[in-house]
Amino acid sequence: MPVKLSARLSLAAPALVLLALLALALSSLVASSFATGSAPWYAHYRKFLGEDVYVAYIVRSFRVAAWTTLFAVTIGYAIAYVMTRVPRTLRRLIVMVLVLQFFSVSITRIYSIILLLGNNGAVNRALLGSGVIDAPLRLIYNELGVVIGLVNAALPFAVFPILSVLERIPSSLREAAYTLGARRGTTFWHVTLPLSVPGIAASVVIVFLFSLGAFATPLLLGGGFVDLISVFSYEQAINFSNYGFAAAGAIVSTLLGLVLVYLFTVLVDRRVAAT
Amino acid sequence: MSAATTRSLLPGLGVSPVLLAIAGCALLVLPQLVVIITSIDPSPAAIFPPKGISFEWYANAFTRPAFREALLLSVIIATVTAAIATTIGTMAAVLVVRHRFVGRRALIAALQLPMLIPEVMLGLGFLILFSNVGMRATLFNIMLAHVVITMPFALRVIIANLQTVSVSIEEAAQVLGAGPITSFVRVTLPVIQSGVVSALIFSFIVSFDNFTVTAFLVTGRGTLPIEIYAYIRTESDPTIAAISTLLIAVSIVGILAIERILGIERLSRVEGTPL
Amino acid sequence: MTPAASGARGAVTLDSVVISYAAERVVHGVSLAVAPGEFVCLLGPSGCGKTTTLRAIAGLAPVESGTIAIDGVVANTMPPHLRGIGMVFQDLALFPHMTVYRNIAFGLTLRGVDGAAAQKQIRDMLALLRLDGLENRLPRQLSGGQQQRVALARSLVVNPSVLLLDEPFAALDRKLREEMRREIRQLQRQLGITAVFVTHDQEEALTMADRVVVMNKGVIEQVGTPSEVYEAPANRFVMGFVGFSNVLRTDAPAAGNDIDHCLIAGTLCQLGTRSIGTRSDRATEVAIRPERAWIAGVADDADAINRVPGTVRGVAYEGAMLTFDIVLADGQQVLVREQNAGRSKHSSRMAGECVEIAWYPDDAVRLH
Repeated sequence: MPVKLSARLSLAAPALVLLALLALALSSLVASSFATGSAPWYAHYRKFLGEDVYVAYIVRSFRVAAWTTLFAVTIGYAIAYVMTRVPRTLRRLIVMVLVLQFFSVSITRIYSIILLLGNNGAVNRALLGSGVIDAPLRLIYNELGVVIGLVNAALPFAVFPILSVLERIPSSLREAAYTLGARRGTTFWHVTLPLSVPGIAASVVIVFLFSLGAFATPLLLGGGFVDLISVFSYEQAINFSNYGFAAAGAIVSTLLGLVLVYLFTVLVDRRVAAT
Repeated sequence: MSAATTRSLLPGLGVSPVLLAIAGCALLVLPQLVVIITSIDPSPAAIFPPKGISFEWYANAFTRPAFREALLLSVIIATVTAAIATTIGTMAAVLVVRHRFVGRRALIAALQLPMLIPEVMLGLGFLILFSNVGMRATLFNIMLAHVVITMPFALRVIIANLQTVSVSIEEAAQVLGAGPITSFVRVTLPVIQSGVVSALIFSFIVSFDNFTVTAFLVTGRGTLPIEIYAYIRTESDPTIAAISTLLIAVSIVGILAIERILGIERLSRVEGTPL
Repeated sequence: MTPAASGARGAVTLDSVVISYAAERVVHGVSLAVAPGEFVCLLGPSGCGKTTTLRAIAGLAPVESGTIAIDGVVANTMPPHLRGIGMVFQDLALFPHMTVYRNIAFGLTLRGVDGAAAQKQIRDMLALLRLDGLENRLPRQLSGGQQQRVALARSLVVNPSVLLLDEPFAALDRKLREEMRREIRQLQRQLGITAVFVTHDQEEALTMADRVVVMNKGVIEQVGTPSEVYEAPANRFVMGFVGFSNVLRTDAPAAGNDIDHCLIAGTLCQLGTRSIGTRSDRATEVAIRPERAWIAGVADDADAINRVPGTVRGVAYEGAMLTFDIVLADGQQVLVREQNAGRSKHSSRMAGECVEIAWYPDDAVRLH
């Protein structure tokens, strides 16, 4: 029977209210970045893009996001690849670890990395104790620390898109390559890897956007030395109540990130279409 | 049996992916282990490895009013958020799964938008919106923002669940005389019960865990992640390790619950692929 | 259709029914009268509109124009549960969270029947469908056949005048399917209920139905008893659908105006009485079922039999049957299916052998 429009509307209404709220929040953000009082409407943007101190936030954020993406997707690929080839119980265990990672409270997860990698952390004490090093290694409170923390947080996002693509590659393809005389490495580089490109691309996009937007990790693991754009926006807004300037920074980095991701997907689609 | 035989005949995994995967899993598991061990360390410097066993940090965590109040606040916010987000998500899921209309795909994409927008933008946007319209009820503001953020998660879980339920059981109920509401309450809802429970747990965790958006909106007493952050900045004793251990335990219980109700692999597929 | 029949309990009448889905017309003006107590099968390939027609009778698909009447009452906009129908879905649609008993009780409760009255009706239904002792099981704890019977019980307990079945045997294996065919037919006769059954399986329709309705692309191609549809298809579509798979090109005989004979691969053949199209015209093709042709032996020398020479290209061994793939002199292919009779003279036929194909003129349909 045809369902009445009113029934559909009443199902959609609460969700539409949420969407409207989201739209209001985002438009307030955009509006405030242009609200400059007597100065020209683009004043916040000119200031942000015109001074090296602020541009440095953007450069640092994209550099950290790029490193994180490289490491998280490489390690994530290895984990997904291993997961498709190990016994069920081990596979389930790995899934549990990844899901636990996703479900654990992020702030305590970051704290645990401080305990592991800090100057007095488990790793440094183990290395000092065994005499491998004389002075503690500086593993956190620098870009390395932020990247390690972000890789730790992003791994579940990196693994699952790749895993779902790898699972759809029939093992008969590998078997066929094998019967034709291809070795393991050859089979991987010529069969498995090319076929998993869509999963890798999805994984790259998700991890990159995630790292670019991350806030708590650089705040804690950067120790004030690695302020990314998210930390800049937070400090401008909360410490100086400079909402418009904070918004301009967030908008510039997000738009730049989306443009990069768009170019990347176009490039990947073209490569995939070409083969 | 044949699959196992086939696997053993194929070349193995290779050393490098296994090593990378082990490194990745170590990065996920080691911090959690260090936290658990540190939480029973009697020394206040939280230096690994511990010199003995003590539960004083657990006692400290429970007796400090700041943590007790923060925990209560977090639980209240997460419970209310989960209930509202799941209700709205279920209604929207029924609409987009069971009805065909112009703009349906666009609506599905739009409803998941909050998952793709950096949290700093959401937090800042809501901060500016609420201050523009003069809304100063912090608790209400935080809940409103949390509902917007968590609804897409609930929506995705319910959509995934509802898609596995054949429309014909609702039609059968209709032929037997059930109206749309009776049919939903007596047939559809009991069948997607597992999805609804999972959506509740899922959105509770997303809200409970939230740091970034809350950090922008909080005034005065904060939620648990905010209070933990404040404590880490000033103190270095293992109280947070004790709290982290408890939260890890709660997460494990939550995951095992979802695993029992819905199957974790299905959930991991939902979360791993936004859009 | 007589007015008396259309008004009786169990009568279903469709008059020029048009149904569209998402701006696409899927049923183009279907008219059909089902008599009380009749078992009618809607037969056709997937996408022919048979399921949509059934769903329109059930009230699950909206009628764009035309009328649907059940028990003599126009039901176009009537909600499903007031139409006096019971429906068995393709996937059975048993409520997975309810026991057998509660599945069956569902419709009764909604009709306000409960207490002892409901209990008795459910007990009777459980007994009728041999489900006693299973009332506390969940659907997933039942075998495929038991699930079928629960779906039937659930639709029959509300005492409908018409039972609608949408390919209910799709998930069953062959043996169980044959058993269920007999069981449903027997039950339907016993209850005297009208049944409309949708299937794409020609054999299922022919064994079960009083009348078969062959549909294609949203229109009815032919309505008739199983033997009418099988022996005398009304058009080329029905012909192909019920198994006339050999279609042979014919040439005019030497006497150009002789419409009772033709040349097939150069051999003069007699034409029978069955035809599709205008009989006065010369037949351009003839159609023959593989199982109505055979490989001629010495004894088949009667004048009333057509014999055309050909060469065996291959033999498909199908157990009880053998299918010979034969090529005529002009390159046309003919399939001939024969019983695999063990000592049969043909079981040893080999590829490359020259044979003669034989058939009775009346077993072939002439196409104009």
